[in-house]
Amino acid sequence: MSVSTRRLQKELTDIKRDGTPVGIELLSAEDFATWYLSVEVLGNTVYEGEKFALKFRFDNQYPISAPAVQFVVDDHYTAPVHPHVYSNGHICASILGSEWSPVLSVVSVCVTIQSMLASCKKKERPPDNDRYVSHAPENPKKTRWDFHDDK
Amino acid sequence: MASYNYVDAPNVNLTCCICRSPFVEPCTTRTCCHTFCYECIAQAIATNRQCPIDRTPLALHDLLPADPVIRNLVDELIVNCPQEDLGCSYTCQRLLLPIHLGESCQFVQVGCPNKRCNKQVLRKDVSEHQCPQDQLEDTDASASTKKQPRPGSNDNEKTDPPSVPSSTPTAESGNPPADLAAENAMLRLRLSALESVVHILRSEMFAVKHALGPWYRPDVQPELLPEDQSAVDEASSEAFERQLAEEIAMQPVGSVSDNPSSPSSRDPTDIASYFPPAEDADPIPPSRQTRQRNTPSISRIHLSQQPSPQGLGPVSPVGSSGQTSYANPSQTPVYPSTAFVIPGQPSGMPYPTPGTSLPATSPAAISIPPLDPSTPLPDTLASLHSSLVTLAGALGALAASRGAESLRTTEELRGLRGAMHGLRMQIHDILTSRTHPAGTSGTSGSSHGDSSDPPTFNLNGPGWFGYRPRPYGTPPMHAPHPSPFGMPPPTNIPKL
Repeated sequence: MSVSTRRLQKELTDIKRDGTPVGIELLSAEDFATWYLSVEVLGNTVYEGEKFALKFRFDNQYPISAPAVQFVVDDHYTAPVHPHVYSNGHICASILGSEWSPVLSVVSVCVTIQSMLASCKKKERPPDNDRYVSHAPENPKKTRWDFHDDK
Repeated sequence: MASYNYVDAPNVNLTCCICRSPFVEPCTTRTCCHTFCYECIAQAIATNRQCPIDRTPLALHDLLPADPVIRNLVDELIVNCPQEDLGCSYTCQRLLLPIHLGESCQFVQVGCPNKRCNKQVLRKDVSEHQCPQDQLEDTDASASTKKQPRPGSNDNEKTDPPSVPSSTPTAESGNPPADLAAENAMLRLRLSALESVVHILRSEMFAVKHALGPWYRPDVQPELLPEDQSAVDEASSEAFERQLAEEIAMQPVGSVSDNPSSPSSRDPTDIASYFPPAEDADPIPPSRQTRQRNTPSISRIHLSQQPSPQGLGPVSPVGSSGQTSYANPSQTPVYPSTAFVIPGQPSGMPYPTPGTSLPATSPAAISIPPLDPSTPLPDTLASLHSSLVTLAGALGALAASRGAESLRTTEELRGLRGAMHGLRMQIHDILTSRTHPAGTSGTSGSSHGDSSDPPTFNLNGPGWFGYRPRPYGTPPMHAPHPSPFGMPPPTNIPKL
């Protein structure tokens, strides 16, 4: 437990000292279990002007195990319409699953998701969105993702 | 995992990317040269066997201790004493912190100095510590003694080196303990470096031992070698044993024994008993080396001529028993079906000894000594080489003899064929001359004198046409064609 705490403390210190990249803000980091960050895609993209919120959940094996990351869907925020983002906020991203590495951090995950949004050409939901959302687990890490490259 | 409070923000190059703190026991990967704390990378590999930075495949044995420069840089970072919140303002190099905590920090709890009670007390309070029993006893009698250490202890500053309530003067003892402590730390550091070097050397040694196999020569008496080897090979041949285990499972347990007389009991099952007793020519399958054991618990492929042959190898998958098993009064080397047939052994059969013109160095006479691990490796290699040379020579001689022999045979065959054809022609001629004396005698007469015109024999058609008298006359003449055997008959066969 102390490993993840120490590491998150370091990340928090770094964020407080160095700030976050452009378009990313730390909304809330009260404890070392759940953090909220906001993501905005800058420039001329299909998501211009939209602001989203990401919820990070850490377990005691962080950073060895990946955090559970999803978009916040509530009164203030919605999930972006993206081929890899389901309407319940779950994200299909390899770095959150099999490609996670302890070198990655909260900020780097946000940057990755930001670029994932920025590179989107067409706003559309995933093809199996309704089916997935209807019986999806609450924690996206419990989903058996099938990562595919649809470049 | 230790956590230190560093005075200055450490250089980012000295921080582990997993825990984001300066390295603790840094290790560098052999494959991609990335450095991590040992604990961090061990945990990461347990989850995912990839380098966290570049995802190259990684295992624990790919980790080496980091460069000593890194270790020194990291060990010399200045840290605060962890008892800072209790009042200790001591700072030192990270590697000296355990010494400070163990010997000099005043805000660390220690056991009772008198070793009588179990109370833990801060080191700075040690001089004032009174065991509960002593307090009751010494209320009056030790009033004076109590007062003495107290002024002494009040003179000591809290951050000085150890000031136990004994008679150590504080001023002079300041330096030697610190020097000793520093020297101690350096020695410990060197020790850890040496230990890692020893570990590396040991693993290399082990690899070399394993590679040499039975030729590994520790500097002990040769008599001990079998035991040594069995001890050494024990560890190094686990995989080999597992490999054989399944073959052994196919054999009845009774056949796995090291009794020299047991071959006789196995003879009925061995087709080898039908073969003549083999000479001691045992070429070596390159993949299996000798393992000499006094009491093998599993059988081994045995290659030596020792009088007490241990571990006779009855291992023989069913399919190969007919192919490579031999009865031998002293040993029964039986190889799995992947081994090759021993040329020296069955040579007596395909080559009948009398009446052939084989050279003297027939394969049956070749005896190849078995691999003897009691000789040094270069000698064994030399003997292998000479065996190879012998084999090559024998093979060459064999090939030459066979070549010569086949040439002779071919020639004889050719001659025989020609003779036969000639005979056949003559018979045909005789027969046809009897049946058609008028028509064909001329041609046959002329053809006898003509020694350079073989096709005239065939004017009467294929030879077999004329073997019987022909009531309806000869069959239509075919165009002159070569003899049915495709060979011109010899030209100098005299008329019979």
